[in-house]
Amino acid sequence: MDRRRRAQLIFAATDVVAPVALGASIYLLWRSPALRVFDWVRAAGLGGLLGSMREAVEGITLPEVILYSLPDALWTYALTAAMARIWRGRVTLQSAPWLGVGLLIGCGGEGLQLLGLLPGTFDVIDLLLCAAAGLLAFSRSLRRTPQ
Amino acid sequence: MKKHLLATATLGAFVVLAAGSDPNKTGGTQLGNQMDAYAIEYLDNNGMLEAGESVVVYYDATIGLDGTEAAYVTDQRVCYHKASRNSCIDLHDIQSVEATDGGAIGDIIDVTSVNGDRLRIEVAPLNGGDLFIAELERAWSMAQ
Repeated sequence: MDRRRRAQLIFAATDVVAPVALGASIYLLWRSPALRVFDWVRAAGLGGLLGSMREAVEGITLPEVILYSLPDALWTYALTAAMARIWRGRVTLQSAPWLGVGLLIGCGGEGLQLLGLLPGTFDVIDLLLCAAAGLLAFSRSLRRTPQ
Repeated sequence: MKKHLLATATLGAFVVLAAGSDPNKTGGTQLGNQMDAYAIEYLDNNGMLEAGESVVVYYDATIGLDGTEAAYVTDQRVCYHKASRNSCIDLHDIQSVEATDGGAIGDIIDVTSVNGDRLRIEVAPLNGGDLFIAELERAWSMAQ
């Protein structure tokens, strides 16, 4: 495998797959089972395995900011990083909307909650974390995206 | 063009991921009037209610909320459903209801009948164990 290809894979693993996997793990192991993702897991025949894993971490209590805010921030980070990878970290007229879509959805959702236009509770911590995650992914990708 | 397609597909995948975090079913302890459609359907399909019996409070103990393990109190009985088997005690026959805080396990409710039959119900933390206990005790009290 050449260096360029390897750098692409490492980037995808560390900046896209890992944040998504971490966020999904928080949801699957600690969040309420009354979420759609649990239906998907059950449909995949992994309900028993997930049940065992949830029992194993039952005694571990996560801070609210990790439980409720971090997964959204990780999602924003991963989406922004993925878009930056697709557009090779170059900001152009064509790429700019795609590069900003993670921030727009992540932070925009909070903004709509604040205005009462979207169900849910506005949380300034959610907003700040999403903004920080999107900007961090963007700045890292600009420097690291393999050309 | 290829980049636009790839970006669209990527965004679609992330939106699907985000949809997984949407609540699908309420879960937790529910009063009879609040029960999710899937739970009502499961009770009906599995003959878990007797004619004219109505649910007072219901708790689904499964992670996937499929109703295959659940505790419920009706206006006549308290039941625990597991592995397609229903274990019930008539409210008239209850001798004692003991509720203890099991810490990480949640609320542990032991129901004992006058002839020695016992039911143990465990309600996970933050799943409305207090409501289940209160409704069970209320239903039992009304049946006396």
